[in-house]
Order: sequence, then C-alpha cells, then structure tokens
Amino acid sequence: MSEPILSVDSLRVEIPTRRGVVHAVRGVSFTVSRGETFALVGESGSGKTMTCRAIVGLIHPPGRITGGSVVFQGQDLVRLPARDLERVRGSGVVMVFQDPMTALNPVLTVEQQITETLPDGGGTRLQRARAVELLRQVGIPDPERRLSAYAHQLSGGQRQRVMLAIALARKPALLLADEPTTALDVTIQAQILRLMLALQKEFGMALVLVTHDLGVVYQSVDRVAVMYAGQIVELAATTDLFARPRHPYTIGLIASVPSADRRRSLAPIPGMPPDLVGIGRGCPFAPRCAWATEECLDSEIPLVQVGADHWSRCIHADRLDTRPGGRAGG
Amino acid sequence: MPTGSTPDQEAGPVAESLLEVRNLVKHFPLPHGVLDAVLRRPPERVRAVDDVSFELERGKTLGLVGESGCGKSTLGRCILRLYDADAGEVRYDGVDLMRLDEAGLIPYRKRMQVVFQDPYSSLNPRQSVGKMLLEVLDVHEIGTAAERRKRVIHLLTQVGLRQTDAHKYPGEFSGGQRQRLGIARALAVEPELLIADEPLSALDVSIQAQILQLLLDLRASLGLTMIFISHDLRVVRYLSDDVAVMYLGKIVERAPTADLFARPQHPYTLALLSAMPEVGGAPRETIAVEGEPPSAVRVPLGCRFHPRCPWKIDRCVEEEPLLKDLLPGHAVACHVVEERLAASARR
Repeated sequence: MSEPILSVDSLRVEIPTRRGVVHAVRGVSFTVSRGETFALVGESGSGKTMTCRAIVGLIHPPGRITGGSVVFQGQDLVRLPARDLERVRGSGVVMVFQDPMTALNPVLTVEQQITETLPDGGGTRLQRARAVELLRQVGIPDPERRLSAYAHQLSGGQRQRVMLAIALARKPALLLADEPTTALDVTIQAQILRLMLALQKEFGMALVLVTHDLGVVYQSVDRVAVMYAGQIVELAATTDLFARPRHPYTIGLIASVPSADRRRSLAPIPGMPPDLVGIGRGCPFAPRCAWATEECLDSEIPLVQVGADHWSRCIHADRLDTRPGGRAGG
Repeated sequence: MPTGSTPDQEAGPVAESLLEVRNLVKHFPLPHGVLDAVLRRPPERVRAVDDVSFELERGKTLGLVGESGCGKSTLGRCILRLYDADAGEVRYDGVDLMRLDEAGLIPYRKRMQVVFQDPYSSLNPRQSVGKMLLEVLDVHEIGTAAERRKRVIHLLTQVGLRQTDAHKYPGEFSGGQRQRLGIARALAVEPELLIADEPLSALDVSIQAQILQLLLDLRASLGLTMIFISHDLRVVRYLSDDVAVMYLGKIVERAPTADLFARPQHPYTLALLSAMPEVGGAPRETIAVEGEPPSAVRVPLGCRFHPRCPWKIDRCVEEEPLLKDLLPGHAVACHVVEERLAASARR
C-alpha cells in the first residue's frame, strides 16, 4: 500500500442541541491511499456524513470539531486557517453531496458555476471550452447547449453529473462523495457510480464513498470502514470484510440484506441504534448484540488489529465464527 | 355448474385468482390552459398505466418492480380504487371493482389494504396511536367496544410494538416503528390483500430487514395475498412468488421469481439487475443503459425502451412489442428476445 494521501486521527465532532450534546463522531481514525477507493458504511446517525464533512471543514455551527486531526498531503486541515482551508477545498479535496439540487446555486447557470471553480486565467473563451470539456467528461449530452441551463432545468442524474464536473474542475487529489446516488433512480445510480469510478481512474483521484449500500461496496471498493454510533467498528479490505466479518454489527448488517440465496434466511438486527446524546462508555452495540457479555459494558472498547489490515472494535472478535448459542455459524 | 358447459364470462369466481387486472389504463391529463387551446396544442396526458394485465392467486405475492414514474404505484392505487382507472377491469374475487359505486366498494375496502412508503404523512400527528386504531375499527364496525380495545392491543403486539404505545403520538416513534404502525392500521380490518407500496424505502438497512421479516411473518400467519411494490429487485426476489417488471406504464417482463432471476430476458430487467450489485453475488453480465427514462407524457413510439436499449433493431422503433409468453409461464415484451428464442428453437 502506498503512502496515505489522507489520514484522519482520533477525529471528534460534537453538536450541541436543546436535548444536550450529540457526540456525532467519537474518535474516528483511518487512512486513505493515493488512488484508493475507500468506503464509509453505516446507517443514518452513524457519523459517516459528519466524518466526511469534518474532513472538508463543512461542519455547520454550532456543531464543531472538538478533537483529532485530518492530515491531507502533509497539512492538518483542522488547524488550518479558514482562508487556507478554502484553497485546499478548492483544489485538493472536493465533496459531492447526496442532493445536488441544494448543493447547486439555483440562480447561476451551469457555465457560471463551473467557471467559477476553474483556476483563473485563459480568458472567458478558454474557460468556456474547459467547461464544455468537463461536461462532456461527465457524460452530459449536448454540453454546449447545457452551459446556459439552471439547476432546476436538469434531471436529478444530470445535476449530479454537473456537481461532478464542478468537483473535477480543479483536478482534485481526493473526492469525497456522500451518498451521491441515493436520491436517484436505480439505473441512473448505476450510471453515476460507473462514471465516478471511471473519472477516479482517469484523474488518478482517491475516492471516499459514503454509502449504506453493501452491494455497491462489495462490487466496487478497495477498503471499508463500518461505522456505528459515531465510531468505526470494523475496518478491512473489502474482500476480507465480507469473507470474514469480525464485528457483530457488520455480521448483522450483511445478514440484513436479502441475499440472492433464498435459503440464507434474513437475520435482522433487533432494536435500534443508541441515542448519541450523553452516550456512555462501553460498546454502543452491546444492547443489540447476541455475543455481548458483562465486559462489553464495562469500558471503552478499542479498535484492535485482528488480521492483516483488518481491525475490529469487539472484544469477542475471535469468537464470532461460532454463534452465540455455541452452534457452528455459517 | 358442469365445467365446459358454457363459455359464459359471468360464471363467477371459479378461478383461484383473488385479483385479476385486465387491460388497465390510467392517464393523467396535464393542465391545458387557454393559451394551449388558442395555439391548438393537443391536450397532453401522463400515460402512467398503459394497458396492464395480470392475475394474482390467493395467498401469493406479486412483486411489482420499476423505477420512479413507471406506473407501479399508480397501478396499486387503481386496484384499490384510490384512483379511478380510465379503462380496463379490476376483478376482485370475480367482481369488477370498477363498476361498483362508493357504497358497493365498502366491503371491498375492508378486504384490501395498503401500506405506504412514508406512514408518517398518513398518520394524524394529534391523535394517539390507540385512538387512531380504534377509529379504524369503529368506522368498519368491527366487534363490540370492549372487543375493539382488545383488538388494538393485539394489533400493536402483532406488529412488534408495546401495549403501552397505544398512548403515544406518531411523532414519538422512530421511522421503523411508524412503519409498524402503518402495518397495524392496515391489518386492523383483517384484509385478505395487502398492497405494500415501497414500505422499506424510507428506512435504514437494519430496520428494513426488521420490517421485511415482520411482513413475511404476518403473511405466513394471516395467509395474506400481497402486492409488493418496490424499486429494489433484491427485496422483491426475497419475498415474491411472481415478479412483474414495469417500464413507462407497461409490464415488460413477468415470470415466477426463480425463473425471472435465473433467466432474465428483457434488456431492461437485465439493466436493473446489473444496476443492483449483490453482496456475494458474482458480477453479472452487465447491461449498461444510457440516458434517462423519457417522460411518460412523450412515450416513445414502438418499444418504449428503445431509445435506451443496447439491443435495439429497426423493428423496435416501429412496432410496439406485446407481452407474450415466450418461455413457459414467462412473459416478455421484446422483439429481440422473441426473435432470438425463435431462432434457437429452429436450431
């Protein structure tokens, strides 16, 4: 594995609310290598989106980063002055969002929004040519005509393509995509995902994909971090994660997806994720976990290495191959 | 009546089909203003459901799959007579629901119920859950007052909620719990047919599995007949006996579930399958469709899928393919598939 382009270390995000402080991200650490496809997987409230937003410095106040570091190409983005962060965000790291309608400016044309992000110089004609080229790269048909369109005149899939064109305008080294296809129809989802993976290769970018779709992860991602209640509970190469999951939540998540093999019955995880206000010590998954013991509730469970490039935040990680009742698993 | 003595169509419910939909059509007219009239623009219509037929046997589950705008939800609502279809028949237990007036429909409203994607929008936020369920029982005059109260408790526990939840308001429940409430309300009148319209789409993965399991358990214990409307082939595969794939208001492929997944034929079905990668599944032969579905206002001539179809031949542009049993019990509406199968049969 080559040197990391991004290393996130002990990142914490807290959001004060009327009910109390929401501990949205609770000590998240991971690295992403140059050109790698990395996925943050989890359900709503797991902290995956907040982690992503923290990386690019887009946590809305009163929410804030309360600890940790985000080192991108040698610079800690958390400690960077706002002006410098803007520069990094413009060229090094970019993020595309789930809902491009709210991320695009409704009163600017596609051309204005793309050229705005382009590096200065070259004059309008060159900039326009570059915008057309970008639109072509993201698969917008008839790009010259589309330059003058506004966001509301585009379909959902086209909006996401325009978002990608804007994101790519400065040739970023790292693209963060937060559920970029969730709001789209199935066949369009597949188109956008294919496009992103193709562009990633073409531009040599690293890609951090935030998703809840295990099928997508299985088919197109190198490494995965599974998040639960603001923490990474398992981190592994994709093939390892699915071949031998080492955290009960991951096992539950995989068993929650209807399988092609109808004989493998569905095994939903009982209960619900915990409230992140005033969340205490101990494993947050324990109340829903079939393997849980007294020890799980006692202290903070560390993320420990359980295999080559495979990490789990479970003290029973070595015993998960057998079912809690003692019967052989499978 | 001795069989075969008469070809009489009015023979009544002899077949096991609980539901029979024939040539159902539902178009929505678009607003046609004065200017449109002056300019002599023809009135435009959204062709949401365009000649759809299928049968559903008692106790079976039909999965209705397609992307947004394909007409699957409209079809569900036409069956429930929440919309009045423009043409065709919806025969429920032998009776054409489209010919019934409101009063005549009442007994059928009890026999068919629906669960929507977002139960929250269909729950009154100012009414406690217990009141809401009681009201349903009152309206349908089910049981005595004491029996109704017992039934409310039974319904709540049946869908995995607590007895004490009866005092809570919809806002106090999580998304998954609200979907349980939606199911409880649908089950209150003891329906035979449950139409579930994207009941999982608004939920998280682990909660989806809980609701899916609940529906499976209830189907088994109550012997429900179901229409499961979804964009997710994986879920549909898991719980359906038959699957119908819809595209722009038409069924393009229909088959028993195992058959459809083992031998998918229509290029659109293949595109849907390849768009939904499965955990543990080998990567399929993928069909990548280009472009986006056209609007149901301007439906392409010929085959509706042809502008996006990688297999398109001249015939597809000119002639609309009919849904035909090209394989035993496996209906496909595609010229290319038909020609291929005919060619391989000659060999």
